[in-house]
Amino acid sequence: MQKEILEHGLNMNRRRFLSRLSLGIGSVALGSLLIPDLFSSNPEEAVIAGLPHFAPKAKRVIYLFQNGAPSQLDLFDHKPLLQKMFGEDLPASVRMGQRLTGMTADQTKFPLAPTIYKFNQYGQARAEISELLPYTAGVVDDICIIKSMYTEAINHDPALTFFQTGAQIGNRPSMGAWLSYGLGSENKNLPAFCVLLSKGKGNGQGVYSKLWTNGFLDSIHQGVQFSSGENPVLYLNNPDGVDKTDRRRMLDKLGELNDLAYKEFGDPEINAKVQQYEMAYRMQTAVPEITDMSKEPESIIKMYGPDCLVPGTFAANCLLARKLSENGVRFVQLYHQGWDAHDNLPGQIVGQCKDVDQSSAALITDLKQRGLLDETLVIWGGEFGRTNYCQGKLTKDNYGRDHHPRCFTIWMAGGGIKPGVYGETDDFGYNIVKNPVHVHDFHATALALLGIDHEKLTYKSQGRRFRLTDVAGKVVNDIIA
Amino acid sequence: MKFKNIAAASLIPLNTLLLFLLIAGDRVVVPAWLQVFGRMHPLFLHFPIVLILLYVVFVLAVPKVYKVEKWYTTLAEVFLLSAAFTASLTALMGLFLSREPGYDVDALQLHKYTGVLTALVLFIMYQLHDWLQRYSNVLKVGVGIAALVVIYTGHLGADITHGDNFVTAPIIHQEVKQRAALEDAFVYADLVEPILQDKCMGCHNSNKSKGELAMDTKDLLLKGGKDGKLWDTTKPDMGLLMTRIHLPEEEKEHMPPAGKPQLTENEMTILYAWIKSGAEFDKKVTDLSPTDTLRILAGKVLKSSADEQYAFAPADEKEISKLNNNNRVITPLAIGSPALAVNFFNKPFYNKKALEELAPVKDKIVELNLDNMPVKDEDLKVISGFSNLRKLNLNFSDVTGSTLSELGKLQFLRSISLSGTAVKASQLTALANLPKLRAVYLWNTTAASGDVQLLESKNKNIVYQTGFTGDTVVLKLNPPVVENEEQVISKAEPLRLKHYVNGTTIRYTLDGTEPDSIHSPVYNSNVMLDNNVTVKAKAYKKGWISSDIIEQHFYKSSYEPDSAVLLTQPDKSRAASGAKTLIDLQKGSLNFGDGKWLGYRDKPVLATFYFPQTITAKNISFSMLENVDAYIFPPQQITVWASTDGKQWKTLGNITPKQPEQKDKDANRLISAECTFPPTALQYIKFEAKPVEALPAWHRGKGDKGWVFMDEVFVN
Repeated sequence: MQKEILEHGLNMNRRRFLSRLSLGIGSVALGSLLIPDLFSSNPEEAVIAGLPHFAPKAKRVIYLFQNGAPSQLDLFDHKPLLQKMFGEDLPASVRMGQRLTGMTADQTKFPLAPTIYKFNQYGQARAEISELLPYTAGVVDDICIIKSMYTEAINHDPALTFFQTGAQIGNRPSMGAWLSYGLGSENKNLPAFCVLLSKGKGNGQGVYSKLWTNGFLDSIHQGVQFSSGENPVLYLNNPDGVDKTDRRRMLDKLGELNDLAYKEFGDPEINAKVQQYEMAYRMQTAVPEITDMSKEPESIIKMYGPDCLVPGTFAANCLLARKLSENGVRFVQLYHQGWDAHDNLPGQIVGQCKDVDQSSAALITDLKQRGLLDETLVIWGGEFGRTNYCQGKLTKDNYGRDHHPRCFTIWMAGGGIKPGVYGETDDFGYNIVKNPVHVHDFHATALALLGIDHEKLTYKSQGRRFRLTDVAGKVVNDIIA
Repeated sequence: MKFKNIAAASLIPLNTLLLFLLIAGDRVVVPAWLQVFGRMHPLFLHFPIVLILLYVVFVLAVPKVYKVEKWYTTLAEVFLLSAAFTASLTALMGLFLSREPGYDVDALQLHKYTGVLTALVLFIMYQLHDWLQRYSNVLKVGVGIAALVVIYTGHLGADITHGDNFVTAPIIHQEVKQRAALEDAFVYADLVEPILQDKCMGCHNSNKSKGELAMDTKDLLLKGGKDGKLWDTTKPDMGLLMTRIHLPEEEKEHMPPAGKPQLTENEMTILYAWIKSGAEFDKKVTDLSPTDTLRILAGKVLKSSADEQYAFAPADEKEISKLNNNNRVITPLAIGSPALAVNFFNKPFYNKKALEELAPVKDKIVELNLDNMPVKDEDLKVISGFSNLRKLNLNFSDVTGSTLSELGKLQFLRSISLSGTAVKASQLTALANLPKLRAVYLWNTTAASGDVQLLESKNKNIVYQTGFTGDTVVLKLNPPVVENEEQVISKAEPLRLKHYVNGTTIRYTLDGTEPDSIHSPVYNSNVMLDNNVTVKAKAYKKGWISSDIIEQHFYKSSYEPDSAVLLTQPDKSRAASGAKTLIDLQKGSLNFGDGKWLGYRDKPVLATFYFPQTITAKNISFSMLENVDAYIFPPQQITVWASTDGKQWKTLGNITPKQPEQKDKDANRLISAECTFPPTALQYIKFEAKPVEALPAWHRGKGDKGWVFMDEVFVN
């Protein structure tokens, strides 16, 4: 009997229905007063169309990530004061008690370590560039050097993850995945987001696939890693004994079966799966064509340097990046490891610069001579900077530098970027004194160049809307042409 | 009634004070604590407004019959007194507040007067209260005046705090002035004047020329104000305007006045640069040199016509999706944009028909990318029908340039990419007259080596990008690559060298000498490896500097032992795979921690090898690591014994490997020590390698024991 009473109580009767209904209508009306957009068209729909919010300046990105953090003080941020104060302790008034890594926190002294490399001024902006980067100096009029980047993280993994995903903890989609989601892919025969890895001889820090993850976005937005060697894309080639027609017939049959399943269950994931199979099939033709470097003219080899034909080098990846980008890949992410020079920096940095200088500059020139630089955003830089004081023992010609997130230098070029020098650091190269650019600002700016309002590119996951720029980020209009 | 008495009594002094303060103006200094009182003005002002209006309602709306009642007269008097009292207080507060900077002076002045007027009107009405009761018409007029004055005062006050037209702003249509595109802009009209309009002309216009200065026309601007002309480029400070805007904001002379919207840093720089360059009124932005400050700032303020708006209607979405496929991708430039970008991919799928099919949207296409597509000369005729085309990419297509003149119809064409095609310089004149054309990309074409300078001098608007040829660049080749995967060879196998750059010659030696371009043989695929050899190779190519030398050691292992036994055990952390390590043909790397090295320090390496059959050996080589800084040295001594039965041992040899010297202190390399002896038949081999007992004096661990790291032992 009790059960029946309970059931009766739970059942909806007319009176209850009407009273609930009035409450419901009331709250809907109140809701629409409080949130004016409640009944207008869904703002997210506009994004899912895979189109820029406004006319983009750049259509594609090539991100030359210098993994391990290059020393801005030896490459771009010239500080003659350090020469004068060689070996003197970093004044506490400059450091202002800012935190250090575990590697130098125990040092009793922080002896200032000037660079041993010479700087010269180049280009219209009279930008100061180290002798270690002669080729970069040659394209200075095409790049915007941002000396006032700063980040929140002080160790590699969180800093790298922050730069790639806008969050220090690795569960968010990578920048390339966001772009793939926001803009869609240009060339349906290739993934929208490709990843290329290379390694220098300097002290290396790992890169992991979480950096090119799709996070909570659909898995088609995940970065596809191209490796060197015979199989640039894993599992793409047909297995031995299966030829192209076999594959086609197999896919056709599979497609029919999937179609039946779709009709029965209506799960959109089935269609997504079919599309991925088909794209892989098309990639079987497109990828070998793109990874074939044999048709590149000699001038290209000279421009990028002969290493561009040696698979797995940074130079080869730059060349491949150009080819992918030229073929409509939205986001090509390169990582070059080996910049983490805690000790013996002068020794390590020479090799690292040799690895990347010529080919980075060549990429700019190459895009320019094809008329593609206007529509391709090229980004060069690491996850943070390095300290102005020495880690370990300081000598006249040898020093090491610890991690420094308060200021560091990156450069951007092409796609709507206004060449020049932006931002300033103090005479010690420790703090920013003008035009600071946070990682979120950097993301907001890159998205703006691609025609995306960073506040509108959102995805709802686990009950909240996420953005690449989280809840911050300002577009740095000063560097936009 | 206490309140009534106090209020009534204080009305006279309050109003006297009001008048005094109003007349005295800035001549009286107000103490800081009174400012706190002054700042309550915006809060307090609501009382008199409400009370006055209540009183007005009372006088005008209450029927006559009630007006004789006592409650009415009492209440009416209370309302009027409260209104007069609070109005006086509010006005007083207002006068104190008005001394703080940050308010629009004109609006404030009027507000002050009307405010004090309100207080006075109410004060007088209260004084005449009894008398007025008898002349109800006079009372009504008085009440009406009070109401109007208070409403007007309130309105002025609201304008001060919220700005002009605060209430009506949402319904008044703001006309946004379209700024000229960078290419068509004038320095004065589009850069300077908008700043003056925004920040100066509010006060300095022909209606309201404060300081006798008006800025709305060129003549008035040149005339200046009562202090004289606005600029004087002969003075170091550039004259009045510059001085005034650069004064600190607290200065009275500073312009725009404190509290008004201030000039931004960019705006000040624009004004400065304009005056400095002679304050010309008719100059175009494009006439300035690209490095000119004004030109650069113009770039920040004005948009280039590249961000143009497209005037045509969008194409039907269904039409677009019908034409879209995997190899022909059509997308609007942005959400809501009628302009389309068309990309072709995948060579085999391209043909003229694919272009012709675009006819339904042909005048919506602004960008066309045919990079690497086999576009033929006749296809350009189709493209010439895409009348709104801005950007055309024909890089590495099959066009020869003979029909380039077809594209002369594309009046909006801004850039054309022809890199890697057969186009010739002479054919480009066909495009030179296109009014909007700015960039032609010619890298890797015969045109690039043609007379581009002539084209450029004739067509100053167009940049001809010829790109990088590299003809004069001489670079160093990278070294060749050894492709043989195994460093240990058991039988003869070909040496496989490779160079990634086409057309290089590889020269090599096998005897440890440096290869050179005269004596060393040229590598071919017939070179065999059949011994312990050191291969050194170097690459050569015309127009390049020869490469560094690549060096690779190969180990021959003729006889593979059946098993090995370690008689002394290696250090626990350096045990690799035990005895097997020495005979698994797996070379260790330069990283001593890679798990392929057996490490010994406290004991010598002592091991035996067993061969299933009797073999005749004459050489044993020990492959080891030398990492001086890590205490890893060659052994002090190696002794080798042989046996046919595993019991009777005969000494085969005794070697003392070369020890590193101080100059080798950073060495980290693979080394090998060989023990050669007369051919001996044997089935067992035993050897002992003793670590260095005391490291040399120059080493950082001097006197300590050294390590021995061994990975392989080869018997030949």
